[in-house]
Amino acid sequence: MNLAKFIVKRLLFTVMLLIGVATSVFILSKMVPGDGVSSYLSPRSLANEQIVEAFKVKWGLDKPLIVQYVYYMKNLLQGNLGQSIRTGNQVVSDLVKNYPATIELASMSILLATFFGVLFGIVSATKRNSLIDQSLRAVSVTGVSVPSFWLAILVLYVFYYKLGWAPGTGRMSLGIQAPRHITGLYVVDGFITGNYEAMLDSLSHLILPSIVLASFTMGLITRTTRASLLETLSTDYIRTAKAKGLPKAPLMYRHAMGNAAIPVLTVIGVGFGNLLGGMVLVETIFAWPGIGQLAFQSVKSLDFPSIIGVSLLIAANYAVINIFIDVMYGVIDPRVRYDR
Amino acid sequence: MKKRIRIMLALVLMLTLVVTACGNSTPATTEGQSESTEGSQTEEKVLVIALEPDYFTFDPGYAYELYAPMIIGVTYDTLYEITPDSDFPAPQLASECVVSEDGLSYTFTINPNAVFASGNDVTSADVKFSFDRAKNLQSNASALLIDGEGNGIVDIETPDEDTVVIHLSKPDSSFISKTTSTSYAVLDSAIVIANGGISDITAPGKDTAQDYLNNQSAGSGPYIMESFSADDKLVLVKNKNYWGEMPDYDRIIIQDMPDANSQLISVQKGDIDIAFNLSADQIASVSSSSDVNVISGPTMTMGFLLMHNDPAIGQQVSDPYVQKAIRYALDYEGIHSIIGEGTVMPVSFIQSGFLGALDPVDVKTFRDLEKAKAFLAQSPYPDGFTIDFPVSNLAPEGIPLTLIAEKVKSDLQEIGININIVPRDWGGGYGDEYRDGTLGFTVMYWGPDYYDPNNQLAFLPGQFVGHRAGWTADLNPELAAMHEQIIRETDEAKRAELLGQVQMLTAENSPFIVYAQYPKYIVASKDVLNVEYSNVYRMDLTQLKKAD
Repeated sequence: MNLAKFIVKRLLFTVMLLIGVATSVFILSKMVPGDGVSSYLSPRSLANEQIVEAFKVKWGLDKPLIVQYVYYMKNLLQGNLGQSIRTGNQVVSDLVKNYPATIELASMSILLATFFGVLFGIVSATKRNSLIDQSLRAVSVTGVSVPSFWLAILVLYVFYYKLGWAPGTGRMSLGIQAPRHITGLYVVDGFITGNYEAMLDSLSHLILPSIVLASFTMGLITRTTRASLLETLSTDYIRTAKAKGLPKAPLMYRHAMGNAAIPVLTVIGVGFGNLLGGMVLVETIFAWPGIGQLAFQSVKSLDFPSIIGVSLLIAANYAVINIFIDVMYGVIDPRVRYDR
Repeated sequence: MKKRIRIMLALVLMLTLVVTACGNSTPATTEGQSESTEGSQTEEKVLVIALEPDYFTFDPGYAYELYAPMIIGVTYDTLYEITPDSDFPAPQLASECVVSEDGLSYTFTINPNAVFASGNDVTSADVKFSFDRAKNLQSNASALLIDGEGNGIVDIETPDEDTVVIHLSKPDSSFISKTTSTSYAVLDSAIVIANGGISDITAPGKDTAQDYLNNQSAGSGPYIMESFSADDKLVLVKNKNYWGEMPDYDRIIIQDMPDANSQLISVQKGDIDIAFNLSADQIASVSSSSDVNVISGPTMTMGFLLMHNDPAIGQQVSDPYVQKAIRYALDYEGIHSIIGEGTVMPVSFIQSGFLGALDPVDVKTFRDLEKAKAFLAQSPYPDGFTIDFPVSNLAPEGIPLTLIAEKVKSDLQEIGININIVPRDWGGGYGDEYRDGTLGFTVMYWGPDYYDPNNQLAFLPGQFVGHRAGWTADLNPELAAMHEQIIRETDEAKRAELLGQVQMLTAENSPFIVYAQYPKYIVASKDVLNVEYSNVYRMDLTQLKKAD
């Protein structure tokens, strides 16, 4: 009951947050000098007042700012994000079209980052100050510090071009038929529809971009896991358990890791959010038709309805992930209560 | 214990997924596509082009973006076209054209063989519908049918199914050239009307055919658009009903690939056939490759410096002597080395390749610092000055204007002119200021909207680009009058002579310094023949052939 109340409360807060984000993005978009007319009309058309006026009327740029805001919020509350100036489609339909590609990539990345991050963190903590520990720490520092665009170009060059171990850009090889659309996640749709060729091909295309995206989050998770685990291992109750002769494995995985998991979970949550934000460059380099690519193209062409749509989607993702993480705290550690 | 087993199983499953994924890493080639689609499609010729596209609409009534003609040019026909063999328009849908003596009426006879992909005949009614719609939509495309002062097409008559008569408000020697542009593409009116198309003056608010035309073509060209997904890919397939010579490739996939490095390694790897957005630096790394061909050609994109003539806006650079000093102080050879091999410098704003264009300037000998200093000494600023130099974030042909600005800065320092480069965002205000003519000193670029030198006359005093530099007609009435003279001149030899005179008159005396005509680089697989850059279509896809 307390948990349900907590979730409802957080969801209401999320709605407020989204209204705040929408308002901020709207104000920011209007603070930028220019109204996008120059981005969309040709030099010849810009010399034709009739065409310029028709463009402004079509996109509501001729109305006072407050009127634009009221219309915008009214539409937003009805779930209408407006029409993209760049693609001419409803922003919602562009987001719906591109979102699965991003979710598929982000999920694969967070899976890799969590698996290797936690594994490396545990190994580092248990083999403290050994050569393995030093090496894994070096790997995690590298992951955190290497810029994703550079790493993306590097892995493409080495693993795709030079070694040919992984496919290059895009979600699928051009010769392979995409699976029938069910969820939009090619791996899942391929599996459900029995199109295993498409499933494996799309899975192979996930490898390089997800490694690039995972590297930063993996570094963070490794470092957090190591630090948190070392702290837990130095507590009195672990020392007592050791003194009583508890075997190493249950001591580590049942008693120590359970308590060390909360900070790690927080980092995973933040990391997942960061992945969505960090998609822009990686998706652009890997020609990945997701939200990052949509954001890049929208910003490049000052497509404000689309920019606002992408911002809201990323904010909503952050909020939902945070709620999920908060709930997970209680699952992992029963001492965490939601009624305070 | 059970828990441990579960954990172990999870680890094994995860590793299996990763290993399986890595194992299936053979890149798909265009040949692979044919093999993977069994049966009847094994013989299909597929071409894959990687592009950083700027297009978002394929409705000829709206489209104006750089790469839109590559698609519209093969999905629709126009009355006239520019063929690879000639710079002059040749009939396409029209079998003949008669121009009235006063130059105000053009009577086109439509080729009786012409049919749309739908099987409908191409008639004069389709031409009238298409042109009226494009004109009335008040879009980018409309600007080529009627200008801001109401000059252009005033009426279209259709005396019979095969004849269309177009009446102009005043003679226009570039009208036939204009009909080769995508704004003049002829649409299958029955299909467009059925999908919300309107051609009368109510079109701006009521026409709803753009959604349809963004995803399907309704033309008579050799290809039809099978699908388009923004930020992903566009697929063209051969039009089985095409009435002209059939192209070689059955299917063309244009893959969005914004990153040039990804394009380059993908073409080298064989996953794509043509990479379109490469810089001179990248070309250098593959120029000796035996796997790919490097194709370069001049574009009609030109870069120029604008020095506003109004002292209140242009400040020091409004002075004619300062303008001359800057013209001679720039190291054009150095600028061209930044842009890449194949760059040329037109005498003025008529690009090399156009009717009447003079031979390009020899950039090795043009720079003359002594002359520049002498001109500066005659100006009110003999000791030099400091001035702001706003530069947008645009990058014509992939070369950022900021790079050119840096070079201009270092060149002008040598004669005592210090410029403060002010980086600006094109959509964030710079574009509006440029359009309104309130930028004093800047660097910009220009690409023609249609393939005719008359397009370039916009730079003359009193014309819309001239206005952006404060070059009003009263500042040079003789030159301003040449605009009308050239527009009305239907004799090509006389028009070429007049265009030559314009270049001579503006070579040293204008608020514009055209520093370069940019080249274009394309890298293509050796399996693709006839790859060429086209200034009209970017690439004429109908010319491409698969090597045997």
